[in-house]
Amino acid sequence: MMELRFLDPHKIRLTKAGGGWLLLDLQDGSEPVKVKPARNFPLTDPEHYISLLTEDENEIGVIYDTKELEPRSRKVLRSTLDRIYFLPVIQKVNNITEEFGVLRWDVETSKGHRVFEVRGRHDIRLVTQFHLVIRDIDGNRYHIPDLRKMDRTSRHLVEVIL
Amino acid sequence: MSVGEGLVEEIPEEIVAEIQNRLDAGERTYLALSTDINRDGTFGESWLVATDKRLLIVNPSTQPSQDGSQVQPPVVEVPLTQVKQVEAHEFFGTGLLEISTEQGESEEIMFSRSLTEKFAEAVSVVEDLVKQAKPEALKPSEEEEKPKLKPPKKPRCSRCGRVLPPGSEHCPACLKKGKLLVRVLQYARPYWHFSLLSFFLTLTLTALGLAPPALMKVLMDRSLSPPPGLHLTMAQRFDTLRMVVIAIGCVYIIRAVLSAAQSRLMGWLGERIMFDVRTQVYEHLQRLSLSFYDSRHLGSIMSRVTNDTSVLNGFIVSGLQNLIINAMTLVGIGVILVSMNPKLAVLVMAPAPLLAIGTRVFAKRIHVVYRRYWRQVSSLNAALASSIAGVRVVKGFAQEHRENRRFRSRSYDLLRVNMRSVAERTWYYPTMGLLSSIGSLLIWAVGGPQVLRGQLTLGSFTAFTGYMWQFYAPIGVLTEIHNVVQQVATAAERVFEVLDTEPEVADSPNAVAIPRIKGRVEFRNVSFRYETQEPGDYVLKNINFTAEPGEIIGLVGHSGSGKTTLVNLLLRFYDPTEGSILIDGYDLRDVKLQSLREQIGIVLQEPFLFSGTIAENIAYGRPDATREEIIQAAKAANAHNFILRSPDAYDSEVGERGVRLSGGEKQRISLARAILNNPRILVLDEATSAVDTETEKLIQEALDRVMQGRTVFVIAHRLSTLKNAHKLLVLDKGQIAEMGTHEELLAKPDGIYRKLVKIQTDLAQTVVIPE
Repeated sequence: MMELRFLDPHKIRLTKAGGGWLLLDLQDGSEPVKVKPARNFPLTDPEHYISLLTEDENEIGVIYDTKELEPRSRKVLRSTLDRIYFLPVIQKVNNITEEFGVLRWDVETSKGHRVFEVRGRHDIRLVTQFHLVIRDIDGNRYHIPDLRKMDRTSRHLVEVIL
Repeated sequence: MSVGEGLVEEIPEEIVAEIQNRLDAGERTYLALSTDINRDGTFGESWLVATDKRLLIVNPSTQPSQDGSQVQPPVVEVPLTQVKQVEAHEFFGTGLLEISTEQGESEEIMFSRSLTEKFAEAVSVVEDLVKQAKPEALKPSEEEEKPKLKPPKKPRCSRCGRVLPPGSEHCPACLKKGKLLVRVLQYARPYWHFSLLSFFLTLTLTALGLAPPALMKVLMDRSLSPPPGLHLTMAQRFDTLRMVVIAIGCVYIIRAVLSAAQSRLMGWLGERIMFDVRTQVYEHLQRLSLSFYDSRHLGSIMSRVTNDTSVLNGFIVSGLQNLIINAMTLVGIGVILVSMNPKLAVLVMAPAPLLAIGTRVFAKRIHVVYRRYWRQVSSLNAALASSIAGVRVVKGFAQEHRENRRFRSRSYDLLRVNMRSVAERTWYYPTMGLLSSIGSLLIWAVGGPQVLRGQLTLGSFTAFTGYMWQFYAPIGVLTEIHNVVQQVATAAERVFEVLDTEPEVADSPNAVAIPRIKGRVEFRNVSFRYETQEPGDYVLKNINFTAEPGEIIGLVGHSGSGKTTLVNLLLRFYDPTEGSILIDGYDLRDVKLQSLREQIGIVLQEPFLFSGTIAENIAYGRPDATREEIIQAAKAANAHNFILRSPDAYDSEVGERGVRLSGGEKQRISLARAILNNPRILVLDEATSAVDTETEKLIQEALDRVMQGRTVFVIAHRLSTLKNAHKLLVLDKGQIAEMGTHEELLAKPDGIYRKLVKIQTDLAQTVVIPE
């Protein structure tokens, strides 16, 4: 397992196996294996370096770029990853209010409207200066990939509390 | 021959006489030292004199006793050829220099601990002289066994000999304050035009402050209540009133605008200068060698970067301007007062000296109180920190009431100190207020009748009282000059000390970049002692060995035997005191530091991770590494699996706010960091000693993979870690005690290594799993 092994994206096939698992067919005559995908860089590079792990956490190999996969496999992998890494992207901030250090966010996300509460500033993680991951009091996470790309009002609301 | 400087002191005349008639013509004196204890053990001056032929011990106070039995002759002479050994001994309160002769006698000279350093040097001078006189005599083996003198730490100023204040390395009396302040001001130089502008703004503001009383005078004398002799029409008086009101209004508006501009400018200037100083200090700190950090506390270094720089900033920006402005205000108003009415001016100035003296006294007393206040606060903090950190122990032993008592008593001390400062302030402010009002009372008493008699206009009188209050304010500020300057000078000295320290280990001017290292490491007669140590007191002594490329060298020995020092020298954190270290035939002192350290990887017992993501930590030595390389390094370090288990994988944040990593996990990340650098030489300093057996296996497995094809230095307590080593060095008290393979060392019947292995095997056998 010590070598980094890339899987040939054109050759392999991925199908759904239920419960977040995938069936990996290497198409080399071997039996398909039940695997779960894991992102190596879920925040900084979510579409590259997807590890496929067996049930006992052995790494079969790594898919370098999901785009290179055969379309059906890619769709299956994307939807599974999306379920495992549920990370709504905040597109617009309607309001942020603060009371006793608890921040109440009212936002529009890629998954719809959401109101959540954040315990304090240490639950707002700056991956880079403009790249934020916010964790609410229940442990749900929300994502702002690039603060600079948000509208002015949203940006201003976020910058004030940073 | 080397003769230590200052080892020939000026000899008093009566002793010169004693000595001269014993010396041959042309005999040269190499050593003349006075001691402060006589041979009979009382305080007094004796002399040790060494020439190229003989040693003389002169004891002038020794008198022949009354009964005629002269116990000790005033001068003892030992020809150098008769000297067998020179030894220095150290006792609790004194030291002793013992000169043993070939005849088996010994002569002694005593000294107090204040002179230890001087006599420690004297030993080597006398030894050199003896060696010259009879080259065959002193065998090197004898020399090594000689006990060494350790002079007490000298908390004294090297310039004036005063004892330094606790926690400081600077003598407050010897600071060249003027020079320091000039140097501090240099930082304002890049912004001189702004500084000048700011200064003129302040000056203008002060001048504007002088205007209202003068305008009041006009208002009184020309409009509201003109003196009887002056005939003005009502219309003229109304005009004047209007104009004066407008003028005063304008002055107020201009002052508001200017002072806003001034604050803005000052703020900008201050932040800018502080930024420059801070950056410069930090960048210099990064350049400095490890030896700088060895001799200083972390807190002290940190406060230089933050606190001391802000003190300097405060001085440049506001302190200096304040001083100048206040001085000018004082002089300016003084002149105005005297020119308006000399008699009244004298009355106004009468309380000034009292004000100055009072402020001085107050400052001195409150300073003492504040110092005590800081001590009490820090003692309270310490009590708090220890009882909260040890809360499990406190509760476990049910000692809450005791901690309460302790805290209450410290807290009460703080209350008392605070009350002292309240008490000081309660006498100061009212007294000063009273003194100033005495001035105004005097003016009313003397000036009032003058107004009534028509000798003084009401306007002049009003203006006078206005100026009087402005006159008192700067006095307090100016009496504090001394303190301000003292504070700034100390801060400046601390900052400049850092800036003036040159890195000890630095690239020599003709240093070359070492090409890709093959991995042959050679220690040639390497000895090392830290700068703070005495000559002769070595951490490493005469280390000789060669590691061939690809060899694994195991370093074994008790803690303190010099293992870590040896690898520190290899990384050139320090330079050897004697001898040289060669890599592929290059002397480390002749290669560029950067090119050397880039090719050496190091994994420490307690891995240090920076705050940032796991990926950033792995790529610390090579920020340009690709993601693929990072994953590969993690895999080689057996870290990939546990990294993937965390939701953010390589994007996980480590450090205070991030994921909690176990010691073994941190260790594997730091190993990945070392691997990514693809070092040609790898140093593993107790890399597996702080983890559990299971993790150790994982790390060991990774290490075995990584060690291939590199020269590796492994320091380990668990000898099982060293089973693959090609060569083992057993260090004992800084020297190589044994060297060889595992088998060779085990074969030595009384070997240190054999003993260590036996102890560890015995320990392992205490737990036996029944079959």
